[in-house]
Amino acid sequence: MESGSEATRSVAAGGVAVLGGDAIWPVARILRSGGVPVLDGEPAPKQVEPGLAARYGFGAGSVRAGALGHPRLIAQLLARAVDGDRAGSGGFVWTDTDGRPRDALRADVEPAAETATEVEANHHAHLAAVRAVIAQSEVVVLPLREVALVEDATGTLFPEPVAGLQPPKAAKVKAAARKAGVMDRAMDEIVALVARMRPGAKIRLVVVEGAATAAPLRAFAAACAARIDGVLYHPLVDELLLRARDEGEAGRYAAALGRVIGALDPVDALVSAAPAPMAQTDEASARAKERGKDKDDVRDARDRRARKEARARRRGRAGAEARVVCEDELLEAFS
Amino acid sequence: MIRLCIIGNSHMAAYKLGWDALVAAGDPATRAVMPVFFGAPRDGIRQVKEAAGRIVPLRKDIAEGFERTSGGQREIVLADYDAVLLLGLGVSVKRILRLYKTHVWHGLAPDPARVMLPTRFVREFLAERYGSTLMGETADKVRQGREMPILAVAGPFWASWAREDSGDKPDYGWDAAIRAGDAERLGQMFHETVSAGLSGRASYVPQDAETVEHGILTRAAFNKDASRLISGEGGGTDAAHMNGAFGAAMWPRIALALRELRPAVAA
Repeated sequence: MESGSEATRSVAAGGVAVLGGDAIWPVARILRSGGVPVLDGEPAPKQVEPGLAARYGFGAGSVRAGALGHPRLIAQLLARAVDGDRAGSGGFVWTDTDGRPRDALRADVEPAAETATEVEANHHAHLAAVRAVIAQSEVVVLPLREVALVEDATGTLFPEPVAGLQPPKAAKVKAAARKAGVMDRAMDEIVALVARMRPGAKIRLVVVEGAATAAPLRAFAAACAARIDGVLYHPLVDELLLRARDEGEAGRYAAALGRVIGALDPVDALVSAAPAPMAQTDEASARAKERGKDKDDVRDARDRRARKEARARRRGRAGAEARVVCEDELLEAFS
Repeated sequence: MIRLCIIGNSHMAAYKLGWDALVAAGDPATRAVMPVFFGAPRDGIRQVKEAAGRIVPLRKDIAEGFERTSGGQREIVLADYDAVLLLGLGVSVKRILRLYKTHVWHGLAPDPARVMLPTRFVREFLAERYGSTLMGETADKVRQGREMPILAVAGPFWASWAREDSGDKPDYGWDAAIRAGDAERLGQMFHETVSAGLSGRASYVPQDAETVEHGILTRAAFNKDASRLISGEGGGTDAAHMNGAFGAAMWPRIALALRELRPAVAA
């Protein structure tokens, strides 16, 4: 495999991409707990403390894009990902109260940096990660929610700014106009952009909102599914997500999500005896993980033993004797 | 005269050998400090507890190690010392090199195959990790027993020959980092995040610059014959431990840090 290629990213082929998510609605994490093979284009380092990972938006979605939630924001992200380096700065570098530059398009997960150059470099690496996960997905999950948007003079959309984040005055940022049909057009754009990066991928809409505000979004999602081929929506999935989130890690509802997330008819998939091809059940997943872990442990122990024996052979000593090198160092220094 | 309690693992040997060499040479730095060593191999220092101002071994072999290295004391009475020096205890540049295999941050050579991280996150992540080492735990135990100045010195960078020939040892990626031009920045991030991770608990003393090569390795001269001097094996097989010359090079830095922490006593 070519070094430096986007294809070397640690994302498996044929998975599920989740665009959007936060600490309250970590949709990717919920799906993973149900055994769904969710892609991760920007994984956290191993051993990261969970609270720290959550604060920087790791694992809540397939990329660290922030909460997203609005079709226009998602469409804009995908368009910028397709444009890649041509996406340019686009005025997304705002400043915080200390005058430090910050990525206003995902200020909820991206901290202030030392320089605007760093903000832009990180942003373009992020766009590359978006391309990589979409290019390898079978299903793209889009969590929808009520989001207040602002836009600048160029028409670039931003989530409502986090506290202390200041746009440049010249950007003339104001609340985004709510025009009829913009959400529909944004969804059409999303479908086209996903198809460009991954032909044939399905788009699963889920509504992550409280009951009081969910109705208009559910109606919008249902209408999109009815009029656009390859766009899926069923309120059952919303309900399973909600219950899976509230029941905690790897529960019954998360396992059910694994069976329905890529299905054309979630109800049918749920009652079907055969597991859906997109996912493993949580038990099967746990067993597979355990088998893999056991094998890894055995392999690691075998490798360690082989290395130690090779070392001992070179030194003409038996393995048990080789083990006491550390003690030797102390003993002889103090003899 | 500063009464210095030294708690550490196998890396302590180089400091003991270096101290002996400085004393034999009549180095004036040795007149201001009176070190007492308490060593246990690998992570044996984990097997101690704090009790009424004492650091008490929980296992017989650790107590025996203390007795052997200190010249007769099976536990540490913190009130007998003016300052503590912690050595090694799980703080190593290998941790940051492991991160560098999969992730990069601004200022390092761009690599689309690795995940880009915000620099601020990297600092927080590494500081948390280095603060969670046996070094951090031990500093907390000492502070629990007695509020006193604590210095911390990491395990030395591996010897420079490990870059080309790590033999049967794992390759932590020294050569890749140097070839990419990232080694100096990685070394700098190591020093900054260890210092931040121990902040408020211990004052970090970085490895002496004269002993460092490429920011993340130790010059071969400070590893030469380390194995022969230390374990009688003939040398050249142990990249992780250094010789007495390394310890001798580090003592002036430690003495300086002690003067900064305890100016009255040092004077």
